Amino acid sequence: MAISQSTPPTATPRRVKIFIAAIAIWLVTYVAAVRILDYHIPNPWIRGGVAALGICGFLVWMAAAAFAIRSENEFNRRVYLIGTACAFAVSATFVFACNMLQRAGFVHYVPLTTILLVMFITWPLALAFASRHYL
Amino acid sequence: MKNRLRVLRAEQNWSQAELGMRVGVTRQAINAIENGKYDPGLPLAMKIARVFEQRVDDIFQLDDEVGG
Repeated sequence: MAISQSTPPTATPRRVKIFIAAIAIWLVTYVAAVRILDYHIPNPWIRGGVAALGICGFLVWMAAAAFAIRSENEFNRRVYLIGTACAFAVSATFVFACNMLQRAGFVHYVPLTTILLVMFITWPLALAFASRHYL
Repeated sequence: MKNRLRVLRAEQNWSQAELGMRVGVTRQAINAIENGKYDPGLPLAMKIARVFEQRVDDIFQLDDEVGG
């Protein structure tokens, strides 16, 4: 009988460690950047540099998420793809609805962080929906 | 796409989890393939064919080929 070709047992913990480390980096850089920017430093280069620090921290997390998804098997990658597509659709609908409601005078201002929050909430929900689709 | 995965697995007396482990996917993936909800890619189809020592098209058939 053919030999099994299962994923090495060390793959998942390493992936999880990288993912958790990336989240920690993101949170630390975000908090640091926000706190520093709250001081309203007059030098635009420093402000730009601090903003870049926050952005880079977020990109580290995005890269870790991409790495984690890429190291999954093809079925899980499909689930992530569908989940991400659903999350994108919901988020886009939310942004579009906010825009329409804003123009109609029902909503004055929707902070960007609210949109980000909606994306963070819809993503795991969409993943759960995608997983359930294949059950 | 139809497949004979459930029959072949039963012949080997393997669970879905065991087959999944042999081809490097989860039990859910095997379940989705068996139920026709997910068509595997070529690498996974070839791994499945290899563990059953069969050809890919002996396990997976297009709908219009079944029984033909």
